[in-house]
Amino acid sequence: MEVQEEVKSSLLISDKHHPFVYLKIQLTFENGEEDVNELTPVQFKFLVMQAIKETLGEIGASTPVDILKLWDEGLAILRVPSIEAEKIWAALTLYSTTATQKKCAFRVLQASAFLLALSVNSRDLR
Amino acid sequence: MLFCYSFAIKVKKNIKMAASIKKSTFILEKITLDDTQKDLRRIQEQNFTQTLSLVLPGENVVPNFVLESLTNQFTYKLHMIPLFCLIEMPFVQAFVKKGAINLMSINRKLDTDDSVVITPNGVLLLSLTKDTFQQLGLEAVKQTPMQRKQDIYVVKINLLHKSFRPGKKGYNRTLWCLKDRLDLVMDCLVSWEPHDEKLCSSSVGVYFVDKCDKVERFDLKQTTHQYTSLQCPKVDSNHPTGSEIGCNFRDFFEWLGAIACNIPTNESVDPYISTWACPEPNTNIPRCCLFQATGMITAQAIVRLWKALRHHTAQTHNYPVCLTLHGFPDSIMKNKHEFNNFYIAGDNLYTFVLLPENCCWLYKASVSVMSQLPTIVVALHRPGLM
Repeated sequence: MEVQEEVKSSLLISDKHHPFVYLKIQLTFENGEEDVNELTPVQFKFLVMQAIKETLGEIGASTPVDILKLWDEGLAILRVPSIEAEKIWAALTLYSTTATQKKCAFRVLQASAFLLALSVNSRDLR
Repeated sequence: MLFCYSFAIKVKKNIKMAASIKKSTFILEKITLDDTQKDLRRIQEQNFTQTLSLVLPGENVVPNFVLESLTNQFTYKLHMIPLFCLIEMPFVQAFVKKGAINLMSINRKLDTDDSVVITPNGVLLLSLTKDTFQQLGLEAVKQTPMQRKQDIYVVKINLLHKSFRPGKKGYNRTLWCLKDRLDLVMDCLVSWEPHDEKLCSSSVGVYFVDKCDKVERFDLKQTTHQYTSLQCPKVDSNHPTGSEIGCNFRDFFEWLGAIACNIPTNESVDPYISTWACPEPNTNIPRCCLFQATGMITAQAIVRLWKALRHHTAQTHNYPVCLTLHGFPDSIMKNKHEFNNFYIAGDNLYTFVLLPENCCWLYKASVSVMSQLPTIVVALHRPGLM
């Protein structure tokens, strides 16, 4: 019984498998061709999916990507499955023109396996 | 052709990048808050905390004790301080030998720039790029595999060593290297916890007035956010991996992140945009307060806060109270024992979740340090632990 109590009172779990990677990204348009503040979450998600589809095709676009939060200035937090994270990152980096021929760019500002880490911008302390 | 080549490089680089995040360390430890003071030891190990965030369910406003525990501490920003000033004897005698000093360079990137820290136990650490290291001519400690990869060298100087004083060879050489050989200057943050209550922690700022270009107060930036009608996951302290009455510890940690990032937990979002939802089982809490303080927060201030928080929650304790410490991503040391490294992220988080029955969940989430791997594997296989 004593042993059981001991086991109960202290416990250690180490988990190296991270199901998701969280990306803080920013969308910018060249020469202010479009106002990013006016983008709705649905439009933003559409652009992200366009970016993925352009590089990775229909199969790549079937990856579940969640827009957890969309702020002003085109800032957003994305949740992507960690197994696909590098491909989606690459696809976002390569995206340059929208369907309406407007030049834009996705910039990955922060990436982490923990959502909590994105609440603090690591390098903005001045 | 050129496009294909650059694409290949980008993809390869990204694969490498994401791999470093995917290997992040994530540990949950369940501890009992008793006389062993394991929780306090953990906090004291965390020397350089950039942000402190506190989730207080059931509170409308931030309680006074939280603000009071952070007010006694003065932090100063030293503009362009020459590094040899940090090994001068008057400084060492007055602030390193007595009390607890925290000093670290800011606006310096750990992976590409030189940086410096002085830990409260009197050790000066310089993280140097290969160029600076070779010009400086001071001996470095053994590199970790990550530092070897990034060509980073760490020079460790024990300021409290009995033979580290003027007239001795080692001291003279260090002073010569920092002063004459390479005149390194950096912007630093410094705070000092006096050993005597009669002394004021502002003395350290006064000391540096003549030593550098400018000394200015660096106050904590405090933000508060109130939530009403918030969905909060239920926690079963004895079954962190999930049970009928409590959610999985990983889901709970993600929920904490959602709260900190101000992601709505109870609004129905179009599944096309996001499929994230508050973990099950959950409960609705009428009000919740999120408090964040950013700056340089010393371990001593956090200990004060933690003690007050435990005292406060002892009476009213229906929901889990969470305290998260975000370590500086560009600090050389992650805690007292481990080197930090920054590749694409320098995450270094400690989260304390206060639960009923004197129980506490301690999360440790950080980017992986290769030398740490064996310890974790051993911990996993300790019989009777899981």
